[in-house]
Amino acid sequence: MKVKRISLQEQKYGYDIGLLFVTVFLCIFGLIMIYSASYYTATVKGLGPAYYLKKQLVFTVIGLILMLVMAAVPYRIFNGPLSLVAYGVGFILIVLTTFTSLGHTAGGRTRWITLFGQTFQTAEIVKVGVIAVLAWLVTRFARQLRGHKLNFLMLLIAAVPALLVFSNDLSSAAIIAVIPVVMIVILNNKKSTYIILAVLAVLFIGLLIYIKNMDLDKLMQLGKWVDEHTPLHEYQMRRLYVWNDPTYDARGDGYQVLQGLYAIGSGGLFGKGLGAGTQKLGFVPEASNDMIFAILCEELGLFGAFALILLYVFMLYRMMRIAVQAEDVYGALFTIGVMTQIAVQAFFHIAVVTNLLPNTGISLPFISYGGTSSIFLMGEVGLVISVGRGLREKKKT
Amino acid sequence: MKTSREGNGGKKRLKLNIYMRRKLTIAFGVASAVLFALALYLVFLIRDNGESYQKKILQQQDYSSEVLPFRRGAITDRNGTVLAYSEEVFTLILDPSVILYSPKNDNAQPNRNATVRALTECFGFSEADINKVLDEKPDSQYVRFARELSVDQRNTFLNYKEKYNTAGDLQGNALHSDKVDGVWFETEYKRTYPKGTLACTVQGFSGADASEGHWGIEEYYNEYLSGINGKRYSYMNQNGEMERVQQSPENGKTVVTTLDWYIQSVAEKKVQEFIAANEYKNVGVVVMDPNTAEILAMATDKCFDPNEPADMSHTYTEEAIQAMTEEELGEARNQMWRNFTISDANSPGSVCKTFTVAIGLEEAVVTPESQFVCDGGEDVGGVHIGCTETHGDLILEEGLWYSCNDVMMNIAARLSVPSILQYERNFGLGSQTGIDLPGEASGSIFTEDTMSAVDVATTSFGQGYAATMIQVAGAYCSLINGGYYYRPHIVRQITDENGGLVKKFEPELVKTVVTEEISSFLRTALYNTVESWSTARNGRIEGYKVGGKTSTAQKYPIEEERYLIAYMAFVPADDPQLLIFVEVDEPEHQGTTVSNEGAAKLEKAIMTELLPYLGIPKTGK
Repeated sequence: MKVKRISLQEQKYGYDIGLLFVTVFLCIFGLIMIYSASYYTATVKGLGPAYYLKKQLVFTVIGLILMLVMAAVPYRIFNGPLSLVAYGVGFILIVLTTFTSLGHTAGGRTRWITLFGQTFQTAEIVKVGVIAVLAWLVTRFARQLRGHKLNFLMLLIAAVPALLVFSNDLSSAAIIAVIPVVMIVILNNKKSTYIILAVLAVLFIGLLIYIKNMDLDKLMQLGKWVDEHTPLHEYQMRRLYVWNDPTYDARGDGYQVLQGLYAIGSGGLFGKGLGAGTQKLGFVPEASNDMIFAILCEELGLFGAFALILLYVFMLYRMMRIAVQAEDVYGALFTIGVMTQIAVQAFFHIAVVTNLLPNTGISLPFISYGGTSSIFLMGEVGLVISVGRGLREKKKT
Repeated sequence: MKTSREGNGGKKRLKLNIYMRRKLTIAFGVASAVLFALALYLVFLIRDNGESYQKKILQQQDYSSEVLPFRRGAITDRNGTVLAYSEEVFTLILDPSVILYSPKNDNAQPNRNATVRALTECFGFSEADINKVLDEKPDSQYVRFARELSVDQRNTFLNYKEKYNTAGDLQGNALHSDKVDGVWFETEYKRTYPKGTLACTVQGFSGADASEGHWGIEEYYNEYLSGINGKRYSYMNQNGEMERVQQSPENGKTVVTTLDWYIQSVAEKKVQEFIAANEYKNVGVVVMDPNTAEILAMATDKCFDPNEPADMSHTYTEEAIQAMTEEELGEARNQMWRNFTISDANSPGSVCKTFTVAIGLEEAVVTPESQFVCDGGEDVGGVHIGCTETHGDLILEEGLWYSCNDVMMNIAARLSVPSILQYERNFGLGSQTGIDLPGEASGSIFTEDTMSAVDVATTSFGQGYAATMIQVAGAYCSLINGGYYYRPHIVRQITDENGGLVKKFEPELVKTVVTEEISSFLRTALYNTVESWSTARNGRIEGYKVGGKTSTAQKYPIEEERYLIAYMAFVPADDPQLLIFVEVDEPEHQGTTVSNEGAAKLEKAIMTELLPYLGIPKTGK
């Protein structure tokens, strides 16, 4: 397969305009959805209807600047100890968040750290760190470490922070764990690796399907058993009960999922119209964050949902092109990591909101309200654009 | 190898090899496919659940808005005495899901005991009853637990709750963490009839649904008595501000009737006294103002308390109720609720001889001086129709005194069938009078095609056709008031809650039926009838000029020997202010000997009590 060369105009500017455009478009779309989903809650809290919109606007502008800076900087400067530093910073932050009073708890989950009067969602920083360090690791040690050793090291590098965020942020842990797996799948050429991964995947999906279709009473007995015989607690199992049957505790545990489903179901083909949804009016909790896709479906319907998914697919497509044409493995792997993060996170968010996966509380990339997530994601996209530019620089020389 | 070098001996730069690129492409394809699969799942989710989820949402929103019920309008008598009104009461709603709420999902229900205690202390409910509801419906959010609580009872509870939930020490620390919660009140209006059974069959009743009236004025004027429920809800305006909207309920209007509660109560009292001493099937009394055809009172022997409309004990004995089948009970209730005076049509009998005299005079086939001979009967179309006795020579007026069938048949024989029927229609017979009450019967008269010579003869003395009490009384009003037929009516005006006039019902002049001259003759003739030695003398009241006429009608078929007795009276005879019509349906009797004394006595008893109340002048002997 010949690497397809790029059009003259793109060479001239060196930036992937398509990727840049789709990112900015998603962010603006996100701002509109956030305003629609949050004005009620903001007003009820006495903050003024545009409170969350304004804050997110600031995050978006910062993210945009960061994205452009990253796009302008040669990405190779990260291909070295800087990756390790990023990983290290993320690791330290996650430790501080989990084990010290710097950790900030909201909604029963300690996901944030307060530094310099600002709160950051630690897992978002860790994700970038893991992506960067894995890309560097492969570049640096590919020749020294053969076969499963490198695979093992990659998994270990990701597993440690994944385990640390596990109890507070299951979905981030899953994303962090999936990143090296995807990289291994793409890099590896050993059949045994695929067989092992395929078996694990089948077992895991089989287990999920089994739990989903289990009798709720039996599942609850299982939950009690787990509570007594493992370090896990029953309250952690309860999200499985809700997943199994969201109506089992319609006012309590199942409330968020059910209300989200009501929102999606009532949207129909074209939705109730932007801003015209009613479920955000105090019924769907986390309407501008973990549940924003439900609000989107209610107001814009299936049409809106399809459009959003198409935008993600387009974004992934642009990134795939960049990865395929990347000048070096570091750039390619970094791009693959970012792709994985965005794809998995979007999938998780939609699957959770539609109750295809247990409720883990995860934001929709570029759309959901949240400073750390937006800024870091946009920074990552900037770096991916930089990877895309690297290719063209070489062409000129 | 995981990576490949680009070119041989080139820079040691690692790049993805072709297999990796392929796998990357496949991975992208898989990711895209998974995302589209999600979208497809959404399609099914919406297709299968869209409608039911939309309903759920609407239910939730309904739950969050509050209905403000309207107050059904009052019913008053002509002087403003309240006969029916709607009292503000409260329904107590339990929300077990809130009362039993366990914040940690650990089966601890911190608010349960406090709430149950509050309910038992404030209302005296039994603890077991409350616990039964909580245990049986733990997930319910809406259980109507008690109804018709007064404003005071509700306030007692709310004060208790407020005090308990905010109890704290001087530093403002809460004394206890449990709260009284999950108890709501809904405003309701309870239809109340302060005078109990008074005018029950005239008023009808309204039950739990304030927008519905059953029978009587409650049904006929339901449109005015009903209001429109209000609503209270919150919503976000375009600026994102919470706006509380209250759509105030539109309360029902007050219906001011022509009834006079005192007259009504006298009529009912006398009817009760009568039925306690006599056998009968139905008893009806209509009291009217003959100059306007306004109903002052309408009483029947059937009686119920509109506050408890299903309770039959006011009309039937305990044993009788016990003996009834379910079907019979339903029928008995209907009988109890219906208004005999407007719903039952019978042959009115001799009171309607006045009609025949009026028609004869108006058609000029007779004059007050006309002479008649009663030979004890008449042969009509080959049938001998007898008179009660052989009265001999009589002038027109004496025909009324002695209630002579022969005289009436003589007059009728001089009239054409169409003119008789035309007058009957003018008198309001054969069709509904249009009184403002539901369930009015139209009675039946002959038609030009069906009326035979025999029918003409029997009609002349009030047999062979059927009329309701209100038809007869309405016609009588016109004959004695100068000839003006006003439509009988029972409502004077509609006012709003504050007494402001909404609609006034003026007496509606339907027709002029006879001349003032004839009317004057009839008044005098009927006065003389009471003063004569006929059975009408039973209605005489000392000192007053009473005009009146008796009836003893045979019900069909004749061989069943069922009768209807009646008495029609008005006072003062030369300027009638008050008209009373009494019918006793199927009174006790021995063989063919029937006394109409009972009806006259009942009428007299009522009139005697009303004369001083109405200040009727003593112009008589």
